[in-house]
Amino acid sequence: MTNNYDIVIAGAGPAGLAAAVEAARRGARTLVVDENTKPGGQLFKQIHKFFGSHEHKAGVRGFAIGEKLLAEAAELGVEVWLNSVVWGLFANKVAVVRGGEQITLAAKKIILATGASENAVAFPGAALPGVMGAGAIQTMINVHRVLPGKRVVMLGSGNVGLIVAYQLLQAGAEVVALVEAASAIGGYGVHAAKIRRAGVPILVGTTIARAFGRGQVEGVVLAKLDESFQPVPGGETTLAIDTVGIAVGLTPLTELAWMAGCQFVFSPRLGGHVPLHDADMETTLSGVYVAGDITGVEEASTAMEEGRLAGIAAAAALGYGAAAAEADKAAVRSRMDVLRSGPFGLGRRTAKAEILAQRKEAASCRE
Amino acid sequence: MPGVKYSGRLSDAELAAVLPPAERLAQGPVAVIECVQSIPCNPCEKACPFGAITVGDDITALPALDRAKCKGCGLCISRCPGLAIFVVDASGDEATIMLPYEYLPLPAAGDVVDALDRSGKPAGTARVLKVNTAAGLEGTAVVTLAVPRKLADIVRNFRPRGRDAIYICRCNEVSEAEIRQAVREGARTVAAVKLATRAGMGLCQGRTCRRLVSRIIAEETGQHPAEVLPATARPPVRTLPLGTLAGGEDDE
Amino acid sequence: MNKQTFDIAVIGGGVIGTAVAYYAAKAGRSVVLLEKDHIAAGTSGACDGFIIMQSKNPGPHLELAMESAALYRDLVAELDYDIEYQPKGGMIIIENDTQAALMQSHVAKQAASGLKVDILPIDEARRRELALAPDLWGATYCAADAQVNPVRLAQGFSRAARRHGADLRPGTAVTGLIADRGRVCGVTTAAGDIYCQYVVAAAGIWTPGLVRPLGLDLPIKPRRGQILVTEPLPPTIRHVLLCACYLVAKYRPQDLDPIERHNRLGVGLAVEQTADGGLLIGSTREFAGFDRATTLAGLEAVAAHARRLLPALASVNIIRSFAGLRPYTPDGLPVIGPAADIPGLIIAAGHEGDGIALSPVTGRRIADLLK
Repeated sequence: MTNNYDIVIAGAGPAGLAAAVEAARRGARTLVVDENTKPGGQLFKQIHKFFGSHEHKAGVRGFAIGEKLLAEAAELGVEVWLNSVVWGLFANKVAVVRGGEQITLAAKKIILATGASENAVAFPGAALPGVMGAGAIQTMINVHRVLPGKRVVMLGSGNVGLIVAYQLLQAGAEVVALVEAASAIGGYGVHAAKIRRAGVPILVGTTIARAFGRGQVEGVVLAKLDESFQPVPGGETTLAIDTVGIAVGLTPLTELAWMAGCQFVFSPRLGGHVPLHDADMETTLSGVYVAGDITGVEEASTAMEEGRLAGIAAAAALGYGAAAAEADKAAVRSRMDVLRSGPFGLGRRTAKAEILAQRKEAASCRE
Repeated sequence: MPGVKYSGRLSDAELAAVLPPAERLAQGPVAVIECVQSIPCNPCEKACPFGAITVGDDITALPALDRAKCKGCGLCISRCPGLAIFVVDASGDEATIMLPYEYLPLPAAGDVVDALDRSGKPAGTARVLKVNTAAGLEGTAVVTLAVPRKLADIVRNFRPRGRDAIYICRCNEVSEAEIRQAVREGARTVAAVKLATRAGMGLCQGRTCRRLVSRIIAEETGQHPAEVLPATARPPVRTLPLGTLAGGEDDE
Repeated sequence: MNKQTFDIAVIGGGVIGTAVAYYAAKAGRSVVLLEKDHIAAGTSGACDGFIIMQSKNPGPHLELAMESAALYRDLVAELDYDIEYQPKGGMIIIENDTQAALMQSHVAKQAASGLKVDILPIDEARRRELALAPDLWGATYCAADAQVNPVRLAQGFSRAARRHGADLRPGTAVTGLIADRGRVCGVTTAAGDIYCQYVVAAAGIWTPGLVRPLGLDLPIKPRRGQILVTEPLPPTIRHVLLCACYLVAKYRPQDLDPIERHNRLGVGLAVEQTADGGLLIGSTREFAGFDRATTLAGLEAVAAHARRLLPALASVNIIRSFAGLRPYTPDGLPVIGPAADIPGLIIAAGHEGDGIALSPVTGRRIADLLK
């Protein structure tokens, strides 16, 4: 077996798979490597219906989108290595551990679609067992069908916090409260309304002051906050719970891009430092592309569109489907713009535009 | 009835006899010997390298401190079997108190602890500046606390907040207080904090804590979060067994 | 306004610079330490913590090391800071008869210099260090070898130096040396000029660049050492461990087959278990300019060599790798002392892999010199 691929993709989530499908469809020999036992990244724990338009598969549940992508990839002959870890990038060599063996892959193009990791919070007791990321809860209930606890308090009112609180209710847990330090709910009102009408109190202007328990979380003390996020005297409430969900955002998983030597830009809106990339998703390193949450935390639908862009561009750079590439990319970009619109999407669209502008500037500086 | 005989706490009158005058406190560190009963005991006399403490031939006499000779070195603290000697320095913006401490676990420099008064009541917040555990102390640690100046004569003990510590790096159990202390001592980058505290050097290689560490650095130094770069990424980004990295057997 | 006149300005906040600052300040000199980044940001923060006597060549090299070892025993109390000093003894692993012959002559010379080193057949060596492969020749053992945490050592030196009145200025890069009628009398920094009687250049691999404008050409260049870090383990490796090929690579490189990968990369085993339980497994010895990246070939070669000598480590998980740039000199000896023909300039650099072991004696000797 030769280990020479046209395109090696790190990460078989929505971005990675979409990239692989587009690249393979155009004839590129494509491999996707993922450390998990199942492909699909976070898609298979998304049991809710996606937003968007028909083209974005709106109304289809996340896992169903994942199944369709996988079937497409299989049909097109995309190779997918699961339980396989990309542990280093050394120039154009991708170091992978697979089945207890170290394999060095030579790739003509590399697409990094490594996603994001959940942010941690720091309060006394945050390291107690039972305090866990909302994403971890979602994996437990939707993938492994295990309830992490019976009485849950969720911290964070972004879409992740709202959706996971809802799915906990569906799974049979009691969500005692959802708390949010800001004065308003961060995620979609429709998600918030779903849990509110199930009786879950949504406490804005509130945070978790501390968690307590012997060997396992047994309760939390909530603190009411003033406008400058300082605790209001006498504003403490104690709740008896057995699980705390933490949904305070995600950070792009960028180590491989740093290691490769990509230039970075800081974008608070997108979750921190992200690799600088152009409109084709190519980083400042020729032949290294990025797609999905590694380029800034968004949603699965935008991740798939970015993946398609990277897949089309990387394949075209190798001569596959080059003639139609510009038209294909333009179609993807316009779909992406639609997703990044309205009061919830515009901030991300602006942040993304800034990245492209800075990339252009970096390129002109070099010339 | 007030007084050490009835409550274990020195009365105001008893304190008046042992507390240094404000002028002396303002001049720099000085011993405070809170020993007011005629116990047959004199190790403090020998402990002082400057001859500032005198008990005399009758070892039940109370120790007399010559505050002009006392340099506040603290060598007497661990030698007092009654743990009755403290060194107080109120010459700066905040006061420091050196006190004997014989509980485990010991605090670490940088810890924030609850300062306690002579009755064991919380008196405020103290910062541990130093924990001296040298062998010559015979198991009595000498802990230096920083407290607000007005508490110089009040604070005589402390309680660690160990169970309430905020852990930032879970792999290596590095607390928020330790990270803040490292930043205050000059570590202004994630890499420097990592070297100074081991935060981010554990199994997860900083994936859990780096964002929190960056935020603390930005807060402490006033840098913009964009300027606080992550530590250098080095392979492997996931753990792998040494044998796997080594490749096929005898492949050297 | 910071004070800008001192007896001594030390350039470099690694173990050497901080040791010089500590001993000089302790001797009552006014000292400023200038570090472009932070304490132990360079080579001292990217190396193992060997204080190993038996790898040194009998003669001045070994004498310096033995003097340093004695200073270490005092430092543990003097610094009042846990430098994770562990007098655990060291072993040099011998693979075959050729290496055994080299080590036997080395050990005999060391005995003549007053260092006791035993040669152990493999059975005895494995009784003392369980992880050794059974098919090796054996190992040497020296009780005087020890280990320290280099980062904490530099921090301990700098804290103690500060207690003795030294002015530590991390984040202050020296941009040039000031000379007056041929005598070095200060340094320039972005934060202003600093004047002093003596400048001690203790900037490791960056030292040649500092002194070159004065016409001094130091033969120090960066030699990269790549090191693997494992997950924390229960006590697994009891000693500091080197292999004899490390010594061959260091003192007799001509004896190595240049075709083999691990020779090409200068791989010699260096293993220690740190106070937190992780193992540091090194190391390559390569010339790669100032590049601190780790390479696939380097990491694979270090892992393969470690597995051959210590097969028990095959299942241990690697969590990180790093590379340090050691200040190599052609004769394997550090450059310590006044610069010839440039009064006022003192050099303390070029310790390559011996910086940790020799930092106390270097600091002490420089401080004595400037009394």
